[in-house]
Amino acid sequence: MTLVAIEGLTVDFDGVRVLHGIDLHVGKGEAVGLVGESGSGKSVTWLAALGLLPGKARVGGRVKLEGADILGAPDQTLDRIRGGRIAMIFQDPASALNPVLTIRRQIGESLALHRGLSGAAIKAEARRLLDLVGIPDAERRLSAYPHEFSGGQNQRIMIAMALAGNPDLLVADEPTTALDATIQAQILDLIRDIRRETGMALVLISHDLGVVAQTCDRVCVMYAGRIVEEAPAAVLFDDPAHPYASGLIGALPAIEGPRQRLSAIAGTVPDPRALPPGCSFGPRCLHATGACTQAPPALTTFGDGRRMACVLAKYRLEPTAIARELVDA
Amino acid sequence: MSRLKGFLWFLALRLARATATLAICVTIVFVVLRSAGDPLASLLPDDTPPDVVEIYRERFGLDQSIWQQYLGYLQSVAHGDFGRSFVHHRDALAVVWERVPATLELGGLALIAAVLIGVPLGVLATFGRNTWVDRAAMSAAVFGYSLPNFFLAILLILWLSLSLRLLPSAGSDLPQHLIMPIIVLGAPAAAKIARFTRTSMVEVIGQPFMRAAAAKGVPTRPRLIGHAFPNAAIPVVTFLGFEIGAMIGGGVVTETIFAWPGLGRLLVQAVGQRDLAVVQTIVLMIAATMVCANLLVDLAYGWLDPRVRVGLRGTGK
Repeated sequence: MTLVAIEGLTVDFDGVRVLHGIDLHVGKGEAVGLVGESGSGKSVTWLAALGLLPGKARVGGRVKLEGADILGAPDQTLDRIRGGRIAMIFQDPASALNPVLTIRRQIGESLALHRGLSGAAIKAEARRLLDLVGIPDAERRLSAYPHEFSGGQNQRIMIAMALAGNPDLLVADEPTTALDATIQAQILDLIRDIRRETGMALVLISHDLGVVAQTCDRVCVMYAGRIVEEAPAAVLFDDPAHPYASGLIGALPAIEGPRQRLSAIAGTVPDPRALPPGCSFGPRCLHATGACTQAPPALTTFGDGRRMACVLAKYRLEPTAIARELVDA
Repeated sequence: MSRLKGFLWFLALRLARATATLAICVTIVFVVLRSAGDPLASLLPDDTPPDVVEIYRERFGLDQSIWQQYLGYLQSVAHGDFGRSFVHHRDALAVVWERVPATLELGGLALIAAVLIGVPLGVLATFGRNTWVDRAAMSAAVFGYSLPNFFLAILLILWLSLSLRLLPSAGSDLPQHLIMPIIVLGAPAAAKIARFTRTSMVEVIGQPFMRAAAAKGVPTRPRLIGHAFPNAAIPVVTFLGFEIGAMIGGGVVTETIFAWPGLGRLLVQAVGQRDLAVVQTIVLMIAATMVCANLLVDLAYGWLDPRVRVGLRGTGK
């Protein structure tokens, strides 16, 4: 069953469109990965959906939480959803925690806002949450400040804070990017364990394909403010359909087999103020043809739960098309 | 243990710096005052016979070289003797000390008023950022600190004393006498505090933890007051430290206009009369106040900012 449905979400900053109509569904308890380079609109999608962008951003489209429209809802409604239904954790945990408030105060605030707890109940529950996310000596550490913890511990505290509201969905925005590799794995394990216990859905925003592959059921690849491919995680990594997705996966070093030169995608991400006509990936694409500059390709469904926005989609839909075109030519 | 040790180091360092600051102040004042003119010329009538002038010169120790005078002065200051007032014929410290309560009363009340008006005004401006509330508050602030204090004082006297006849124009006997000096001294401070609070709040609002607070469902008002303000207050407190000095120094004009019997007015009189010992004592006192204010600010910093608290403890957890 669909928990959150994003339909045709657009975002404009100062008249420049940075998000070009995102369609994305997250089912109850599902783990969805959002991958793409910096600036592809992964974070903006979820910040816009929760009304967290600055006032100058123009947001269009629809965002539904269990059928109810939440985009542009009054602050009172949104304040109950944020943290209570959909919680978010961020890239740099040290700067996402308030430096002058104790951990107890910051976790307790969520408990008071979303669970109506107070006094001793807050303290007991905050301690339980710290235990749950693996902060040792929780009792004493509750009165500590963020700078007294390591980066990994701060991310654990962010997770505890997110869990405090019993959310149905956790949006994790690059949760491990700022952390050491060993700590990354621990944090991902923690998120997986918690999901197993609570059945909470997860949106994992990351530019790290490995992280997404390990954690998610379904993956959406974003490029220049659009979703260009969506597929079950296992399928995407075996058989990426969109040239950009296959480029990204081709750029991953292989652990087995002979050492090979890593293939990089030539060129750079286009400036949102000067997008190329037609497909935004066209100028960097090895398969680009004249048709690619006509109009941005629509997201077409093919196969089992797969979608892609590319003129090549028709060959996936109808493998014989290529032969017929050759004959016609 | 390491906590106490770190704190003592901190205090010792600050004390050494404070002493150096005071020594520099004393030296500059000493040299400038003595090179600015002969104190005897303003003390004694013009037709005083030269031999009488010489007697006075000897009595006040002005016949010695500036080096001898300077070392002698330092020596007596170190013993707590700030010299004798030429004009009042008493200990300079006693003359100055009498005026301290009046200045503290005026400066203290003005600073409290400035904080009580400036901080809420600055926070209010951030609530309605880029709306008419913000613009009105910040226009009022610009007005408040660009108006010269003597001009504001004269306007107030014209309006409140002369035309409305609500307040006495000068003196120090009634509580009403305090109102106009407080406004004149407090208005620029309130304006600066308001602007500074706003700037500090706006900077904090842009921090990632403010978005994280919004993402966890903290409504706007508690977010600004409970999350942003405790962070924004830290630089504002530093700023207040400087303002304490401004309150005492800025009292010079205000106290003179409103005939308020404080340090500022005494300083103006003493400079006019070349009453060296009194001027030096007042300058030393103002410098000492600044140094103490800065020390207090540093201590307040540690209390407000948990990150500095660790620094004060030395290192470690």
